[in-house]
Amino acid sequence: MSNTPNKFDQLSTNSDTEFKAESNDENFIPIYDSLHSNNQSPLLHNFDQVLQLEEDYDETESKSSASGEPKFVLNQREFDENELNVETKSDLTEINEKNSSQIFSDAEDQDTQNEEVDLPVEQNDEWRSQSKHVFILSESGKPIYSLHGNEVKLIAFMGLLQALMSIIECDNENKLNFVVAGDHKIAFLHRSHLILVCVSSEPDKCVEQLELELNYCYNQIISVVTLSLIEKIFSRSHNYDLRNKLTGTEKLLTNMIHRLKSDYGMLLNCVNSYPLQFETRDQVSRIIAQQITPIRSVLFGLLLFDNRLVSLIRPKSRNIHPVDVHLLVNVITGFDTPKSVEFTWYPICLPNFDKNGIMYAYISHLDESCKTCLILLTGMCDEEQSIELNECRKRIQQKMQTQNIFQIMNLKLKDNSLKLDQIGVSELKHFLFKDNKVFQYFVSDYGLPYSQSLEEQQRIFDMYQKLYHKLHNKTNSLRIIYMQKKYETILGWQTSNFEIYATFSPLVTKDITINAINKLLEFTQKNKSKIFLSSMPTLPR
Amino acid sequence: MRNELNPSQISLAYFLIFNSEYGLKEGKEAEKVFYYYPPDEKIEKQVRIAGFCAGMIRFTQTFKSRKPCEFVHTEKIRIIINQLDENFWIVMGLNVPISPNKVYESDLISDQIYMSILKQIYKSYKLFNGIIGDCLEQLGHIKLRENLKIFFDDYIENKLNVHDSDIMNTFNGLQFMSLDRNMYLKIQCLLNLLEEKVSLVEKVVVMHQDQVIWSGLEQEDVSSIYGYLKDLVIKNSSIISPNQSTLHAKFLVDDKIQKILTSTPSTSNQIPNDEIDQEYFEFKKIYFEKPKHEQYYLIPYNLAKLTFFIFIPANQTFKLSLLKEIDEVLAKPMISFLQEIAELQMKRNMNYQEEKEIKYIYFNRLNLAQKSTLNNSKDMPKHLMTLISQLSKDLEGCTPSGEIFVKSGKDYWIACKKSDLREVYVVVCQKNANLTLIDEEVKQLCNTDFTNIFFME
Repeated sequence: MSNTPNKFDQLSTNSDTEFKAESNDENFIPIYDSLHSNNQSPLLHNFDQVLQLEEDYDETESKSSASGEPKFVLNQREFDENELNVETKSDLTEINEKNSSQIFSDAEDQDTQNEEVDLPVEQNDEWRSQSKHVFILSESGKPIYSLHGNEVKLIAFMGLLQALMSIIECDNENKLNFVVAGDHKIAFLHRSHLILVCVSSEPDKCVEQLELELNYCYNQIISVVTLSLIEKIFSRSHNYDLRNKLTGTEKLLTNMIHRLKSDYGMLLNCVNSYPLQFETRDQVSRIIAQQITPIRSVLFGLLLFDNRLVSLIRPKSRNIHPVDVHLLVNVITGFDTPKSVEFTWYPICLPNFDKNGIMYAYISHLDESCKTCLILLTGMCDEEQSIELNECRKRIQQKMQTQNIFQIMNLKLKDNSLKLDQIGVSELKHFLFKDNKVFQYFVSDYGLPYSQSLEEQQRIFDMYQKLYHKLHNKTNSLRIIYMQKKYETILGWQTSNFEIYATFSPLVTKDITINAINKLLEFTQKNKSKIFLSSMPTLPR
Repeated sequence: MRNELNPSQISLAYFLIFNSEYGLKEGKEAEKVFYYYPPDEKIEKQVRIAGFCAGMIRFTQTFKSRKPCEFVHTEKIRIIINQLDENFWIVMGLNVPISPNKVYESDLISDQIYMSILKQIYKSYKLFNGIIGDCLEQLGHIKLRENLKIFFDDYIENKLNVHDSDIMNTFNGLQFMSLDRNMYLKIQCLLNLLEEKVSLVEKVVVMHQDQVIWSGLEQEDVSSIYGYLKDLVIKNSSIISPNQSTLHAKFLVDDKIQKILTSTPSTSNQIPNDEIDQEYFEFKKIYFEKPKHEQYYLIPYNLAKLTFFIFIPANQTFKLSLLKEIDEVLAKPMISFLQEIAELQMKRNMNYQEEKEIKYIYFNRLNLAQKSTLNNSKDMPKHLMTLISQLSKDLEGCTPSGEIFVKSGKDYWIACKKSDLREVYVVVCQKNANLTLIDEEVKQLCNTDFTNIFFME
């Protein structure tokens, strides 16, 4: 087995996720429930189904926690419990010792730091002028992550963050949400022993966006450590240095934060789907479904092209949340995996699937350009499994090759039928369409002058981002927003079926915009089967 | 303002003024807090809140923010912070209202509205007391604390109304009375005459009931004093026929001084008139910011619905004779103005139509003129008023002109238009409307109600 050394090659630290799946933390509020209340499942055909599934989900979860029923409880079989207990105990005592010594040395460090010419990071001009900061710390103020600057050098600063937070929380169980100072906005998120803080001076970012970003960061951490492990660690030693469990995955956080800057799927809580002829997509799905159905341990099969979803094979009764898909994509884009690597195993917790359990993602690039990526999610991972999945992957690869699918997928990039000019309204410069039934979206190409400047495209993203949060405001949710601004007129419209965000030239009349929107709806209706994934085969599990 | 706390309404949690340079020594932290409301709060909590705000301010400055910390959103309390003078900070904490299903509705509190209210409170303080830093220098910190307590206790208990605030609070605009050109010229003539005959008169504001006809003040000053003048007018609205009004009633002075004003020099048995100086009348002294920080006497002169507010520099001395001179110049012409205005209003009322379905707010940032048919904000859902203030913030981003149309809920539409410094907000409640229909409605409104005002199409 020449490939076995690759197993866990990226995350050796994660091998210490030896714990039982625990779902007894009732206090935990599902992360995305508050933010995207109805958007539980991405690829369903109607809301009823969504609700149904949510119920299913709850049931299976409670069942699994109660009886340890092995159907979807992951990661249990592999580890010997006794071994686990001994290991964690010794691990923790070691950590405690380390921590106490660290506190002393930190304190000393600080003292000397202040005296030295070398200024603390928070007095560094460049650091202070960054347009965005993300800090993650533990409840006791221990640094875990900082987007800019070494988090260890920010220990005093993180202490201040923790203190500000606790003053508010001491008072009548209050909660600190965010702070505004001129153009600066600072969002706080305190969840399961972690404090996440985002400081932004980007004038176009609204606070709701920062909160959304912090939620993604939180999920990123859960996806590495799992919620139950966090609970366990911090209930035993609240001074624990969580960086021990995150080593090597900091760049996933950084990658996540960068992607959030311009990823429409992450903004809209949608899967990024890759437009493809219905027939081709169907072909691909059937190939994958056929191959993975016999392998009982595989729960999900995803095929991505250009980091966008081409096909998703799932068990009949379970679905995968868009946020979880984004976390998977983040693994692919976040690590610079050498292209020669045939496949990698990556242990991951999908917080919206089971926030306490670990799954194993078998990740493999199928073509030479590395654009096509196959992800198989399984409940276990061992050598036997690797061999089995490798065989399976090879068969998929072969079939796709003989049916010429790689070529077709590459060609689709140059397809003209989905171009903006097909709509035929010259005032329409750009649009974004979200289908609220299937939780997928379509984004058009940019008309002039936007097509020529990345900055302008970013500006459009930021405007849509503002519209999105205005439409979805908790107390003042809006149906329609029409804004005539200096450089463009923008429109946001939400109904129970869809959301539209569109950019027009500045002096457009309302009649033209309404006409354009009608044409746009026709267009998306006509191309629905191309743009979105629908009626995917499911696994009989 | 001390009403029974209704959790579904925005209410005042606390209000404080602190100086970040005081109370730095351990054990003396309480010196930091110069004023705190409610007064019976434990000193530890007062210190904790002041300390938190000071910490937050320092924290935000770490990131080179152009402004120090302004708003702190917590689940239960919204904190609004404003810098007064170098080291003085004013802080208002508001209880976030709770919805019937026990959810904190943070979005019902508009930052902009309450920041304006906070700024307005200090403007009123400044009007009568001057800049707080100067007060500290002149009075020392113990006296200043007393002084703050007197002013703010009264303001918070009697004037501050946090739960009925709306977008009008952010405009701080004036209601102007529109007159025809002739009337306007006549009033101008009279003002010139007054300044000519009574040389001490420096600035004048003319009001008809609570509407401004003429203001000789700088924009900033008039917006700070307008509320006070309005209160004064309402408090003293007399029903005496203008012909019979006595001198003391005209100058809105106390009964105590009445005797002096009504007595003739010969019958006076107390102090001879000539020796009564300006202090005796107890006219309010007021600070204006522009063109320079200076103190003035505010002398009101009222006949029925018409009031002239006359400002005389506080460093000048004047005697009873001055008041008589003013009376001589103003009394007669004012009586005829009153008649003419009454006739004008009669004519207007004839034309006045039934109350419309469409409500609007108009505001001109240049002259602070505001006009609103949304006078009773209670007849609108609370969240719409918050929405309007959010939209007003969004409209700032549309330069120099732009428009925003939004549909909220099922039937409410809000259309905002901006042209340079003029803004109009229109609320339409109509079932099954669409964007074009609302656009038509708004255009029609602009054609009837704002004929002279240009709005970009």
